[in-house]
Amino acid sequence: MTSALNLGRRLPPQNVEKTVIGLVRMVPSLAEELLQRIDRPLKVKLDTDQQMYFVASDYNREGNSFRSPWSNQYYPPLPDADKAEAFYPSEHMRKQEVLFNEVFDAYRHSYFGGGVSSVYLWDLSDDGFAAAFFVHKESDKGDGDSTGTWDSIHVAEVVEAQNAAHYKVTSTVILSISDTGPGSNFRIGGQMTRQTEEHLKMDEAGFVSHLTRLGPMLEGAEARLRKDIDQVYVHRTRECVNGLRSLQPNAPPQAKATRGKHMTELATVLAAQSKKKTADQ
Amino acid sequence: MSGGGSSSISVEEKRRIVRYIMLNSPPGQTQEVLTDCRKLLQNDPEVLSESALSEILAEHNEQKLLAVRLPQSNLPKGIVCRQGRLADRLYLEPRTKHVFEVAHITQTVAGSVTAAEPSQLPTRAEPYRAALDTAMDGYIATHYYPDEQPLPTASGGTSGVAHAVYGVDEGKDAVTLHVVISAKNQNLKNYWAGGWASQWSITFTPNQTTSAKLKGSASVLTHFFEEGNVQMHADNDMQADIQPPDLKSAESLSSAVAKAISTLEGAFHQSMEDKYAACADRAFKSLRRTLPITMEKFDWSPLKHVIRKDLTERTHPQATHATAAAPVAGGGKGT
Repeated sequence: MTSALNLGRRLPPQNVEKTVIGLVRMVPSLAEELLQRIDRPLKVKLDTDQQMYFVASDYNREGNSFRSPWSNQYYPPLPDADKAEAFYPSEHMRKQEVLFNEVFDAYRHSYFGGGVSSVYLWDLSDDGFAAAFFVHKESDKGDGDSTGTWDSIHVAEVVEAQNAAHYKVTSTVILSISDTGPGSNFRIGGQMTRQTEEHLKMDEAGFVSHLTRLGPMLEGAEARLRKDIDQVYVHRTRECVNGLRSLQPNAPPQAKATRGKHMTELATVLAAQSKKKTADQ
Repeated sequence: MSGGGSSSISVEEKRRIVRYIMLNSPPGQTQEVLTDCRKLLQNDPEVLSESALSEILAEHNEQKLLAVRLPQSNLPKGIVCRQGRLADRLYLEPRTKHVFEVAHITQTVAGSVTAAEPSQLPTRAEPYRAALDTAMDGYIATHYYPDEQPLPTASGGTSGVAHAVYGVDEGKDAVTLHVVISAKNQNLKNYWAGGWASQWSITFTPNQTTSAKLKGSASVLTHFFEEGNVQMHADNDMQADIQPPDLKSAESLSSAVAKAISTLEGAFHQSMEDKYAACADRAFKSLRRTLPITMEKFDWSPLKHVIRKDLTERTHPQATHATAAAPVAGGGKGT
């Protein structure tokens, strides 16, 4: 499994879907774990009752159908045989899910403008629950030759214990930008995961207060991931290109030779000194 | 996802997947990726046979223009590429006219390096080849970094460049010249690596009266993977016309070709720089803002948003999930 995850980290993030399918076909025994542990770009489906898109993921899947957080229905409709067994959240959980989706959709709107968001909730066996938050955003067409896709995946676990709650959020961003304008086919792919944990006293119980705590955690994680990918990671790949080839002509060979000569002289002096030191001892 | 199924896939398909994985391995990590493949397949001797792996790695090495150090220190690095391939595993180092053998799987030189036979070398093309080789020296020294020299970039690391020019005697009086450039820049301890591969070709006859086409392609991959995986891939096909007067002598031809390569690679490089800049300026912003338009962080208190929801629901009465207002009173979980 470690080897499979290593490959996930090494192969192009742009092709992660293809890589995972290949690995699953090659080593079927790892299929389930691979699909769970390697994040792939998100897909969206249309909720035809609400005329709204939602994110299809392993967290809302039943066979080949996906449950929409907007209407609580499966699309495409479940075959009769599966209907009885399909997962629906309890009435209480569903209420919270509606609330979480409502607020998270407003969050999506304020940071992403467009895109699609979805939140899925489920009970954990202990005293707690889990939530998966998704945003899928495609950049507006018509922005030159550049296109981009952004996926956010936040999986949160909340465990309550004695007037306190423990929050663990695993945030992943999958990003792809390509620019096929004249001069080069240029593609950037990135994937990065960060974990945040907080242990907070519960002044007031309930899902509203859980949401007001989880929210800023994932907002902060997403902001850091965005900053890291843009300002650190992509920047490093750019520096690396400029370490392969110099856009400006290098220092003329003359100057380099001189510097080489100085270095040789320096090395000779240092060598002589160290020899002297050894002799002195 | 049609997971599993009882029957496992064929050896050929497994090999195709291994090939896909190997051809996509990032610079400097081919051996690590190979090790991972071996572990995943539990060293299945049928899928990972010596000959199958050698074939896959040969394709990888030629595609990435693997540069290998030859055992004699006075020889330039040898480049593994189809332009220099003499036979299976045997490649030409055209400047000093040596033949080296490559163990594709380990990406190392195997056996000893021998002098090339005259039959393995061009005759008519040689003066042009030699002149272009020298002209390329100047370009390489001006725009690439010499071996293992600390780089002027902040991140440091090691660099290395190798280039080779091959000549082919074609039918009639025609001559073909191939140029390959292979550069690397990597610091795996600090989780980054990059590779550059460019290849150029021109076919001409010295006294032709029309221009000759110089065609080339370049491909760059840079990878940063400290607690993440970010890669930049860029490639481009390029071409230029070399005018008849420049084809007449080896000297005029080589300076015209070297100049065209310099111009085209420079434009390709500049285009990457421009796109990087656009990426930071526009692409990221159009995907996700750093802050909402209000310039304040998001207000997670549900009240506000649920009220907004109420209003939209009134304008869309067909909405069915009208329970949104209720949870504000919040059934506290586990209390």
